[in-house]
Amino acid sequence: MNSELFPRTFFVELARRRAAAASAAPGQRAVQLSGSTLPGYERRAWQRGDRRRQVDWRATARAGRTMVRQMEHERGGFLHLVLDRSASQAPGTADRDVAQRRLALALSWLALEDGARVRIHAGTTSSALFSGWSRRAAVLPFLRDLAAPEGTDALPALATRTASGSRLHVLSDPWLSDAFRDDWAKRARGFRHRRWTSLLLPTEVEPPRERMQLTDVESKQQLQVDLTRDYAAFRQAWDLLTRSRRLSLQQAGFRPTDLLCRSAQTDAAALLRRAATHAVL
Amino acid sequence: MLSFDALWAAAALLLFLPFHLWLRHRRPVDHHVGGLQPFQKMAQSGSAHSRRRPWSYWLLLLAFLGTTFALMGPRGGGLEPLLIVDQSLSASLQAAPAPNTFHGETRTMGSADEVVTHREIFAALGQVQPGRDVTVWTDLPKPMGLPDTIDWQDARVAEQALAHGAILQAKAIDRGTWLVHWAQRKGNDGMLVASMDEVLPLEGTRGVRKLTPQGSGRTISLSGQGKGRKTFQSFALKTIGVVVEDGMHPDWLAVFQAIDPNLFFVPIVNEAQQGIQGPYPALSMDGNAQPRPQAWDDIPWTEAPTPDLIASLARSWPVMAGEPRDSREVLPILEAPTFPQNTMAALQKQQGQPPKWMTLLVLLSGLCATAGWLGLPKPAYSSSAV
Repeated sequence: MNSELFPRTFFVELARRRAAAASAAPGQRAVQLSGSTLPGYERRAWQRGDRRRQVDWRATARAGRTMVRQMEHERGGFLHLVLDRSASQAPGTADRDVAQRRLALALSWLALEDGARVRIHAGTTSSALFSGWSRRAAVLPFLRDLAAPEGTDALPALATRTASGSRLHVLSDPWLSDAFRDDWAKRARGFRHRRWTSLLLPTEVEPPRERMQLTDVESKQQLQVDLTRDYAAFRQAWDLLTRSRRLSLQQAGFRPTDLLCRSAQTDAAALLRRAATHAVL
Repeated sequence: MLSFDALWAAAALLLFLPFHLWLRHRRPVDHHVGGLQPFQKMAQSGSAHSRRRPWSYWLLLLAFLGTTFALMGPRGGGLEPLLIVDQSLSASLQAAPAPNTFHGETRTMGSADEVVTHREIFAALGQVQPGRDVTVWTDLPKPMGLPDTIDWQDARVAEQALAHGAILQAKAIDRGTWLVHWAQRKGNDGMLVASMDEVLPLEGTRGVRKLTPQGSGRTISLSGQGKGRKTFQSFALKTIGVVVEDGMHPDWLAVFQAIDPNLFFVPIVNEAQQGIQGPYPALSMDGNAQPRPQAWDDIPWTEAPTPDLIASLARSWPVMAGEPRDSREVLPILEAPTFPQNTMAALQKQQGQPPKWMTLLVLLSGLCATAGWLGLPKPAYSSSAV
């Protein structure tokens, strides 16, 4: 599953994105910064003044002397990454689900390397906090083990009071209703930076020109359409829907971005490149 | 057992396969989406039942199956075989089919007094249900051009054994004088022989001659010669006796004498000696007692005869009753006729036709399917999702 969801090309591209970001700011690189905020990955010998809870007992047993986890400095703010895990995330294909997990990993990874804390809200039930440069590797199994998208639209309730510099990034699909999106956007006003990335499937942007039996994966409603005849009408309705969605997000203080999710098997690295192009990463 | 004239036509079923694939291609493609908003205005009706095939599809399939079935030319249709048995005089003299060896319906034609010819058999075959297996048992020669479904069992004896001529009837017209009805095949040089001194050559194919058999033989013969072979047919004249009793009115004896001048009367001397028991008068033929005609029971023998009673007696007279034998029975035809083309065409046409209900069903199905493809009746517009 690891190799399928996060293939090697994905990490190669992620490292390239990180290097590109570092080169943009001369002197920066992914290193831990000593501090007092978070227990870090590095160990050192116990010194006077270290707290008992800092002692790494396993490392102490291996080294034969008392070792403690070196504290790191958290300087990158707080990223709240919200993942829409409703059934509309994967309507007949898992491409969007996979793209969402990959983007979430990339965003978390880069944020953690920047010294930020990351809380991932996956739907309404699953939530995890990741902090520290060394915790990057823990994000992967969390995202890998997420349950398949199911149910109707339900985004998590966020804390009304957020830390200074907290950022909110929602990875969703384009199928949230205006009323639901507006209602939820009101509760996200505590975030200074708000981004909303709508992940689009190619078949949503350009559905096949044929007679189709449509099934809403959330409501199970069915509809029969003939796009061999009504394709122009669909394009008009889709463009209207897209403009309406972007406008409402902008009005709610979000920076909306539409990102195309191609085939999950071949789109691992290209997805990150497109995300970087659209400034999602 | 259902059988088919053209079983290969079942291959037409394969033609439905590409049509079915084409229908599948035209069927709406299942597509799962996260929302239906952009599609609402272009929604079509019938979305709830899209998984089901339209009724026109099933009707068309039914029509296709019916057409294929008709093309295959079903025969029999479950009808049991039919056996037509010729029971005319000439045929009944041959070996009849054993009744237990045939399983099916049996129809009889003709009798000892009713002639059966090809015409009657052809008429009966024309009324048989199309495609039904028929077996004809007769002594008539098998006609040419007979359909395959008809099995003609020719029960004739060998042609060489057939007589060239026959005595159709010999009736006494006077004491010692007989009127002989005869017939012979064309080309036969026959002779009537009553005695060594009385030989009458015959000309033509049939006729009536008077003969006076001499001696006690009372036998008339007809000899024939055709194709180098001689045949000889004898006809024994019956000696009829009437056993009378004293109580009978004497005029009745004259009536008997008028009916058959060659009869003789047997007075009752001793019932045991005569071997004949009452009531009287009674009949004997060649010295043997014969069943007494039932009509005689109603005749008041002690009273004088009346015209009606005389007529009744004449009708019941065993030799006088009936017409001369039909020459077609005693001289069976040798030439095989041709099966009538109109009957054969009708049978073949009927064999190739499906049952009427199936034709009607196919037509109706085709019409309904066409209406279905054309979308008739037009459904009301509906944009609501199910």
